Amino acid sequence: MAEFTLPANSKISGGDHYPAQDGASNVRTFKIYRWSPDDDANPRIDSFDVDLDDCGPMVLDALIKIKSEQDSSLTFRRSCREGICGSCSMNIDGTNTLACLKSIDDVKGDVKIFPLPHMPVVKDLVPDLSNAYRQLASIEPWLKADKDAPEGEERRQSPEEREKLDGLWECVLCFSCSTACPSYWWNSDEYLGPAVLLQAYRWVADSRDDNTSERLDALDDSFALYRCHTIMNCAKTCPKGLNPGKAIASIKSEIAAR
Amino acid sequence: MAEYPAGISYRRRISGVGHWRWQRFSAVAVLALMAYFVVTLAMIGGMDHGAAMEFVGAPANAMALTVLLVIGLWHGTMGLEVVIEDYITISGGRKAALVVMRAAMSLIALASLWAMAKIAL
Repeated sequence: MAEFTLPANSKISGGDHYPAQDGASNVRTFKIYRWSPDDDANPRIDSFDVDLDDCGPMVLDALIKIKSEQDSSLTFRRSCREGICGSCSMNIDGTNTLACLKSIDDVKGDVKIFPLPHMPVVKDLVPDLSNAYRQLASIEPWLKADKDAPEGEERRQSPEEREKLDGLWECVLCFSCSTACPSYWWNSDEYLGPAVLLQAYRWVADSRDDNTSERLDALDDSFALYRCHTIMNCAKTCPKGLNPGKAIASIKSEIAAR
Repeated sequence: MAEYPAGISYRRRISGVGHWRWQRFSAVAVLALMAYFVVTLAMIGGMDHGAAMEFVGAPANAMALTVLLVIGLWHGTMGLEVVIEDYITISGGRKAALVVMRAAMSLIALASLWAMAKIAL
């Protein structure tokens, strides 16, 4: 049946306020979504005043400082702090991005931080990406070649063949794009989403892969692929400047051209 | 690729390339025919009723308007199919909505073609 009320834990209330240390002069407020599975409480927005004169320049620096100095229970994923691992994806100032690549100076006013939209929340800023990872595994994102590489040699590509992978290999699988896509919000059970489809095209476009036809066969599904309506939120939000919408269009073109 | 793509292993794969291709072909056709239709509307704007009916009923005009009706309604049906598939996820509701929408569009097509036939024949 249709649901006419918000699901459990959807209503967000005001939360606690954590002032900056005495003597701080360059203070910015970080408003951060908090929810814990360990109690029955609804989510809340906590406010943390941070002294920017004693903090690194990126939003992730502020989050680490808050966790170290103000509330050690604040939960978020992070690892490389330089845009390579894709762990710290979250919604900052209304846009999905990587906290380590988002400068605090680029945000006007309070810095509002939420988990990636429309995903189940594990705790605070940590979304449950199980479905996205299962979808990624399903496209078999590895080289599938009919023959072994020549003994002691690499599988060679021409510079032109290698160029086709540019704009694809750089994806760090942060899922900022998929969770910014309305089609993925409504149909993520069947639509693979921009992140996974970009990965799928990365292998379709690889001259060393011999499984192109099978990959395209598997992708040709009205929901798995064709829920993309070129809304292009994916390209707009990608913190690495990639264009998953173009990759999806390329898959559609290759299928149509067969 | 047993369970590929994830999420649809419960059903057979339904190819989307035909729908995608015909949506684009029909869009181009509708664009061209709509340009013709706008010119036609401008031309019959100044005519009295009898002259307008004669103009619309002329073989070439009647043929072009009939093609526009068929392709336009077909294009609209494909668009509404996508809207329903996108937004209706209630079990059974999606199929029911598609059946009702296609029936309604078919009725509109039949009524339009009957009107064209009355004018032209």
